[in-house]
Amino acid sequence: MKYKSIYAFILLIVSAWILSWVVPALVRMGTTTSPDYPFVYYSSLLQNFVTRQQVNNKPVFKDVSGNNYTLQQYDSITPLLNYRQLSLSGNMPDTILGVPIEMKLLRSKSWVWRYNPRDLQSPKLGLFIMYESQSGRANLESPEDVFRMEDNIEFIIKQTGEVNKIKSGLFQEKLEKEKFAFPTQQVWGNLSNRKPYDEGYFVLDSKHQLFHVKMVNGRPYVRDTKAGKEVNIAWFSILEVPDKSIYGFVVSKEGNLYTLGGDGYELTKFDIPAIDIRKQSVMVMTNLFYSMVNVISSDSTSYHVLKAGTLVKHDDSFTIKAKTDRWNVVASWLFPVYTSISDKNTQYLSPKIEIGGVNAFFVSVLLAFLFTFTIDNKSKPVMRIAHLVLIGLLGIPGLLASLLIKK
Amino acid sequence: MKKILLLLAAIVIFGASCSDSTKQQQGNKETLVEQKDVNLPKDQVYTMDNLLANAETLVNKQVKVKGFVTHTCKHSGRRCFLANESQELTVRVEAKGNIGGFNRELVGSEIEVTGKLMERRLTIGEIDEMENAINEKRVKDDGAEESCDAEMANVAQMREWMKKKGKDYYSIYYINGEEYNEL
Amino acid sequence: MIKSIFYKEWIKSRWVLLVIAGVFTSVLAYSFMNISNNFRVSGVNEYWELIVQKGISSMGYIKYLPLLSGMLLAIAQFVPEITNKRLKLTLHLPMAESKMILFMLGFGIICLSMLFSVTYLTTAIGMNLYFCKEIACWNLSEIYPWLCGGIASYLLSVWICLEPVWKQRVLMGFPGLCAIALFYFDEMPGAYAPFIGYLIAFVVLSLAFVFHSLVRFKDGEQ
Repeated sequence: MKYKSIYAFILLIVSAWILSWVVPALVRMGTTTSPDYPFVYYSSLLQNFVTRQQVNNKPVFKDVSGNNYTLQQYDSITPLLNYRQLSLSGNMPDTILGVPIEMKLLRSKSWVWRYNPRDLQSPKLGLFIMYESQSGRANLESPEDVFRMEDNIEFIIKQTGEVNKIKSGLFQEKLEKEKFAFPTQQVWGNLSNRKPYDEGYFVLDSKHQLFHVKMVNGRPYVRDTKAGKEVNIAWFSILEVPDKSIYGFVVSKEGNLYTLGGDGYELTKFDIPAIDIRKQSVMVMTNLFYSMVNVISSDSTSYHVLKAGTLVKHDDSFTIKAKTDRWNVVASWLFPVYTSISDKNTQYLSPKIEIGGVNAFFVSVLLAFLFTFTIDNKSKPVMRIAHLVLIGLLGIPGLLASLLIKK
Repeated sequence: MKKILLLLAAIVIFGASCSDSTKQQQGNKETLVEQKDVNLPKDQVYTMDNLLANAETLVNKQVKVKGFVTHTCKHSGRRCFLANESQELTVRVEAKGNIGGFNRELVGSEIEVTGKLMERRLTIGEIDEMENAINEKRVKDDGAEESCDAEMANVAQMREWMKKKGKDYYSIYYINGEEYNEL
Repeated sequence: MIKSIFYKEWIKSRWVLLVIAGVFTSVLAYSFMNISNNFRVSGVNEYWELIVQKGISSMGYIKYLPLLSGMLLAIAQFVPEITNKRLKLTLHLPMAESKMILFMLGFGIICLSMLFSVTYLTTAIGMNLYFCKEIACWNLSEIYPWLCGGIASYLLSVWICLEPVWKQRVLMGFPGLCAIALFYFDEMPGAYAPFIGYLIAFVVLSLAFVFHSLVRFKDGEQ
């Protein structure tokens, strides 16, 4: 039969590729460990970072100088975090940093925001819900339609699937009047109705300008925020903060973070180094005085503290390295090169070549020579070379594939 | 004949009092408004000046007024304040009717509001209570002299207005808005 | 000759094809009935909101049907061939062996492709009737890898069926299963977009697997 060798070769390569994904994935599942970062918060009283971590299933509280604290002490030195507990126990101070403290004020100034590269790299349905922003009701009511916004804006009535031409026309006219340039690049908003209020959507047009679009009293509201003129916008995230001081966050393509101010759409830059928007995630915890920014990478987390509002650096940042992942140690010895299909930084599936470690190459080359010159000494030279290369490159998955094909 | 003469006299007296300049006070601002002609067309869009000048005759009536939004209630959006171009006169507009609320982005925009002009009358008793509260505040807070003085000045103006008008109440006008358009 | 081959394959697999078609029809009908039921009970508004807010899809019931269909059809076509090594007779017919197997595989691939195409079209039309094009595309992007997986499972099942050595069949089962798993990750619709090209390439290359087993069969491996 013709092409015998070709069939065997194809089978070898494809099997090796599949096994170079499966075997490391299974080993990873059995060996990977958590980075075990502590919870870090900036103490307004100590003017320093304090950490909380589980050690032998018990919580341990420390500051960065290494001083230990009890739970009650920790509560006291982080009043802006633990105000509910302090209020319950009657230990809440009247003033902090000279500012008289009221629970309502603390609640209105406290919020958390997270950015994950997965948000940037995930499939989108392309349909959105336009709530009435000023309904006068405590709960947001579900509208009768959804909208799409690509080459134009169209509202689709849920009951019939037809386009609401009047409403679509109103919004289209308003968008054109405000010089929105179709086709739309991105639409960002909070689709949930479980939020304290609605601020509609922030939409990037074809000229990379950011527009604010919402429905107010049944009519379209459209404004060019002018943010696109200052920043090359990669991502926008709406956040309904209690005091309405900001609309949300802008992430630029260069990796800079900004807030978009609630009075006049002014941009305020975070005074931290630029991040890798496809590989690093961010968590921002804000209270009355400070915004704590955690930038999380695959091998470390850096902690920054900025002044709330101005987002100017308040104190020195510091970095904690992740605990060594056992998987990385294992991979460095077993898998010189392997394939991964999924990635925690993206929702999309795509094969990627990963390098395990230099040590694994030596082990694999040894395995390859052993196989080729002992077990596989009867195969044709072409196949022997193929086995040698595959095992040398892939290690154990290559060996398994070669064993499968071997006569 | 007697009745006609009396009626004529009443008209002359009324005309004379209306032609006087009147002082109108809204919130903490004190302004002087020239009395304008009362006979305006039915679908007239009032400016702030016209509206407040003719407020007495327009109470509980449907009016259309245009002005610049100077402030909205940030959290509830239940009301906004409209001002004239010079921002000397302001009127509070409540969100009623078809208006669910006023969004904060309206600040600085000129809008035309349709609604009913309402009057809230502050009685002498209420003004006396205000005065007492200010005096108590003056005693309590050191360094609050400026705001207390301003508040006392407002109270004084209210009393002066009532004396001049020969009324035992002070009128505060506001609008129950039913519809608005951005201009 | 080709007609005869196709007829032979039809005789072997007609009842299985009928069962598969019946199951697909029932499951599709059930999926659409489920949508109607949700519309009536939860409300049209609420169901749309679930889709728009959470990105849920409505065709999850058919997920593993293509996989099972491919396996069943492969078994129906090729188990009779390898019983008592009857394939030897087939391969002695006056036609090149590769061509013979290709036509036999072709029959299976054409039947499955037709079935999956009808499923795809029905989903497209149904979803457009109930919802709108975005939601239809959302569901179609979810089922497309599953349908490709059905063709892959057919070819891999034939690969294993034709393998003459039992031990090798078991060994081949492991990478075969892993390969099939590639088509059935539990990911949101649309997640496969960058990966689908690789999967289609794999389906095409898996033809070589079948021929490799055939070579081994012909060489009398035991």
